[in-house]
Amino acid sequence: MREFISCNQEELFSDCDSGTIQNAIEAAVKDGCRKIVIPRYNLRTDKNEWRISRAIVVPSCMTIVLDNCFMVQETGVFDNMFRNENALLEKKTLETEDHDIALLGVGNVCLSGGVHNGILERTGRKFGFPCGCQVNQMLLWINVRNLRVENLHIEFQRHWAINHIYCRDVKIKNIDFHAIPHVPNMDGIDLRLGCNHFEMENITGRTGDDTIAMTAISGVNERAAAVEGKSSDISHVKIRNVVSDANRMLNVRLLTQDGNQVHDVDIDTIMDTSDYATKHKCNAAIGIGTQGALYVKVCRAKIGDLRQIHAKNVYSRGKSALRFDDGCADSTFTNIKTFNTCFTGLSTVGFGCVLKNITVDGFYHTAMHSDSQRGFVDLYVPTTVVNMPATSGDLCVKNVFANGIEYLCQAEDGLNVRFENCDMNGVAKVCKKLGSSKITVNGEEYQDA
Amino acid sequence: MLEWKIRGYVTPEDFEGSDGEKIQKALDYAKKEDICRVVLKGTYRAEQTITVPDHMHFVLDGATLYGNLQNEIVRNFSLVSERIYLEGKGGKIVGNLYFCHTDHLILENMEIAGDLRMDFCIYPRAEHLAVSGALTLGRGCQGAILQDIRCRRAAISGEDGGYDVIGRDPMIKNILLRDSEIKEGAVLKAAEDCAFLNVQIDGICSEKTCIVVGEKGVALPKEQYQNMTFADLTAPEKVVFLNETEHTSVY
Repeated sequence: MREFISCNQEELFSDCDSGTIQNAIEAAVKDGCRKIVIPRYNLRTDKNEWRISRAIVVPSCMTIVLDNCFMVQETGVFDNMFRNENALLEKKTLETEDHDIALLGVGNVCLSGGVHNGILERTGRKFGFPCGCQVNQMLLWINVRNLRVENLHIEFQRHWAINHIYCRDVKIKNIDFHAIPHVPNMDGIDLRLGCNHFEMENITGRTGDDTIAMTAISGVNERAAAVEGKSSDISHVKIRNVVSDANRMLNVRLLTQDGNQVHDVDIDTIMDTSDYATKHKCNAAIGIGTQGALYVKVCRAKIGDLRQIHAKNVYSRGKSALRFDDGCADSTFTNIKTFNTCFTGLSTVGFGCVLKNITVDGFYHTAMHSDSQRGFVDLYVPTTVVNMPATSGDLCVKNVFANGIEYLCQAEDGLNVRFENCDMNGVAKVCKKLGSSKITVNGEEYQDA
Repeated sequence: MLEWKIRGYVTPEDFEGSDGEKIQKALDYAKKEDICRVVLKGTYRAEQTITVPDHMHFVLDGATLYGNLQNEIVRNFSLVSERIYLEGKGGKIVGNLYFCHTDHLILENMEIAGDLRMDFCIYPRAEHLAVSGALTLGRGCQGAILQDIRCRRAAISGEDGGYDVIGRDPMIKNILLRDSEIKEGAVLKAAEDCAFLNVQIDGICSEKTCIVVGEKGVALPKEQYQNMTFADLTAPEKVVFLNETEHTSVY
């Protein structure tokens, strides 16, 4: 048995790079080593690139080593770069689950979306692609167990760079993105229905949309990908060190609809690296919940469907640090720091939100309209710690240190906010609108004048 | 040579000269021919500082290199080095490493018997290093992830090193230093024209004062040290503040 199969073995050459790599995979299976290396130099074409004209289909128990190589999706092609062997089976079960797949970068590896093929979310099905723009997802993993993706630089992805549906026991590490968003939806890493036991670490760079999105919604592709015997929930996800610019969107997004659950998500450190030089800012570091009835196919999410989210060490210059768009329960957010143009600490889009047992502990809020690095700000936004109209429920915000804040809180529709150990020195007013909400500051209930 | 391209790397042994000359020739050839990887095995002694070109994967495959390393530094100008990956694989460098104006520098799995310094580096990542000297992040370092580092001392310093990089923001921001041992502790010193923003140091063990913020006798506005987090520190004295800071949390 060999140590690995190289894609530069002449007997494996095909009429295209995808064919050659696929032949190498088959040879590795036959040999038993189940490991291939895609090197920098492409002997077949005498170039330092691998042009991918059709998806490389990866079977179970396969290690693919990308060795300092540059791989680019071919112009005019409508397919993934990598996907697992049973990803597109019509009927998916635990028996057809692919497993033990590793895609490992060595040295400086670059995966590029190349020239965009024009397929977008709003046009995919019109051009006869039943999966819509799923064909444009660079790495597509459906019904996979024990997957590793490490040490890659991904640029100009045509849609979501890495998409997972019904995957479990996944480790993603040291992934760097570069996307100047010339098309919408250039997400970094997506977890869709049925994903659990993920560990993601060191996710950096610039994505054209959410850097990490965990979205338990029953889209067409997700319903088609349903796996008998697997729960549709997203759960037990650990995220560490997200240092990214999400280009107007969210560094980390979590949402759900249709009774699917998202729970037990631990987020340790998000740093928003957008800056004034890019002239715009992220929506928020963490966005939780779905906006109103968006994405509903069966029923709206109810309180408790999205729960046990624990995030710490969040540094944001976005429109807000934390954005709650729908119900969230039993969750904590610790050490939240804003800077630059993050004028609102906690916000909501305003389509109706319910909070239950939410605690923010350690909130440091600085945003200055006079900041020379504020970049472009199109509307005047007063600086507020909590600005959540159309929200009800209970929120506790403790250990609050705020500079130059115009309002501590705007809540008018039944959100009860309890501020504990709140430094009032930098706060001009407690509340803008009280309505039916109850606000307590350092043990004293605020009364509207 | 085609053989080297297919092999995927060059070695100093492919060239003639002293150890330092051979290594430099290997790096220059790997860059010129776009092979982009140099592998060292054995022991080498380089008298001149070795310059690592960008887009290079430099591997010490159990090797020991006596000598200093740096990138192609063109001070005061905007030429940037990109994607230098130094992989130790159990190897050791006896010397100093200096990287300036490098984007996406990665150092992993090596022992450095000397100092490691970075200035104006964007998105550097250093993990699983043993540094016998000092680890220094200088002006303009941003988006850094440093984890599992063992070093004698660490410094994050905004002091003017006598040069600057035109077009680069000198601010030190978005820095993570985590789960490391810093024997003599870390010193954080901003400057009048170089502020700190979003610096997190956590999971650190130290035999002395773990973190010192500021400099005795130098009083900067507190805005020069903004949004810092120090947590899970194990040391006789955890944090000493010699300057006011803004929105620092100590856990």
